[in-house]
Amino acid sequence: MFLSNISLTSLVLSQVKFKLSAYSGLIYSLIILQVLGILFATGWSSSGTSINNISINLNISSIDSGFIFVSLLAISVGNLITTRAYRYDDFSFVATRLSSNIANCIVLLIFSCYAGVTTYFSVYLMRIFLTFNSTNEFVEGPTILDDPMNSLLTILAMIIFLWMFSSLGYIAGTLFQKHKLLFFGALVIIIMLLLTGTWIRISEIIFVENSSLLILVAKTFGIAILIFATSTAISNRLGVRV
Amino acid sequence: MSNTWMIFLIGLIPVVIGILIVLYITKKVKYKGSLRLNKIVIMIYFSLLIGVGVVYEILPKEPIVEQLSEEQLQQLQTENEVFEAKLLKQEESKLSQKFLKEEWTHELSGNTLTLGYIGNDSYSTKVVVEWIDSTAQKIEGKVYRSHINLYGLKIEDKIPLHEAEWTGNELVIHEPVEQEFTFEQFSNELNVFQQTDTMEIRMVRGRTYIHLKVPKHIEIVDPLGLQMY
Repeated sequence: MFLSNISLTSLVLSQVKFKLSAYSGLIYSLIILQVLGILFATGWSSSGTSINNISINLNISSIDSGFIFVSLLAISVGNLITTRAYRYDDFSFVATRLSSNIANCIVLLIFSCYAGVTTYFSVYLMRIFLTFNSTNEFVEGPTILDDPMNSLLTILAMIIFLWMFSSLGYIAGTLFQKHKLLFFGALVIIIMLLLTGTWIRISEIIFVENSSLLILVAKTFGIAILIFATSTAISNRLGVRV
Repeated sequence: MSNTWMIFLIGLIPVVIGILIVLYITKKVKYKGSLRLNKIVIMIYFSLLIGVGVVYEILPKEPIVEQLSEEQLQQLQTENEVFEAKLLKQEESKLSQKFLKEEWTHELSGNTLTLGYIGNDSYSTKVVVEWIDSTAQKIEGKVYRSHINLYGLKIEDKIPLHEAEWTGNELVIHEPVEQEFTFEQFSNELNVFQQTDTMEIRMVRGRTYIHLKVPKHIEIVDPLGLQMY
């Protein structure tokens, strides 16, 4: 019997609000990695050929480099918030493992949204710099205004991918917190699975054989949910603070 | 809005942000602890990037090199193949005149015509000889060049023509002077998980064709195998 009852939703919301403020310092890591991404974005993909003694080089700058760096951060953050120090923050509230996991899942999604949008736009800094400083000619390409739906879909894809990467970090961290051997055991099993033909075929079906980016995004979203659900199930049996 | 104003405004954004941050750090603006500062940085960083994106999109960008689609490249390739086939069949009236670059006549002093090439890639030029019934020494020549397109870039005008030069009875084809062009392209696509480069054709490597009308009594010496049959 309690003097006041609090619903799961309001408890999760309080935890999300608290965690967003507590982890806001991660912005500096994100900025550093996005700057690195911008530096590597210039000529991320280059092609060259020649004809009639004339050499033609094409430098393609894309968002891929920034995305890869931020993906590493997503894995790292997913893992970080399962560590003991961060888990102890949850004791600021009268909370359950379930509410804590849901809150972590939402916080990682919010971080992924911020990181996805900023990563997409971070390369524009480099574009503006190149526009005014490069002596090379520019090749026309579709802009956001030309194809807004495609741009939004790309941003959505980046958000969902980052969320999935953070879920990978999260489950790795959860397993590690549960038992170190469990983590390494799972790692060995995954590596062994990756080497089998069936697993490669499954990976191809999920990540390669997609008729559109939207289908890939939907599959990735499903995988992320599955990973978070597994992490929640595992962490429900974690020990309490003493 | 002129370019100068655009540059001025873009240059102003980091200055304003820098001033705001300095003001913050020196506590001229009130804030409560580092959490508040983080939130401000989050907001400023987000606004800055969105602002830069918007400015870039509305910025006038010139010169811009047009990029052709795969279908357009395929069409150019087909036109090249049709042209070469018609040239080999010596159907001059059916040849596309847009490929014709120059035409000339030359009076030979003997009965031998030598073909020469100066450059590295003699494969880029082919000579098609049409034998004519004539006792004169006059050679009629037409220089054609078919479509050239690399990576879909519309840069045909940037690639100079081969030069055909007569030195006595020798027709020497000079390759253009070496040059290098670099182009920058920005992609908004996420290519990590997508195989976006599915184009079957990425280049159309046109050739220079020299169509010669040569009297039958003239002998042609072609040590480099420039002739096409």
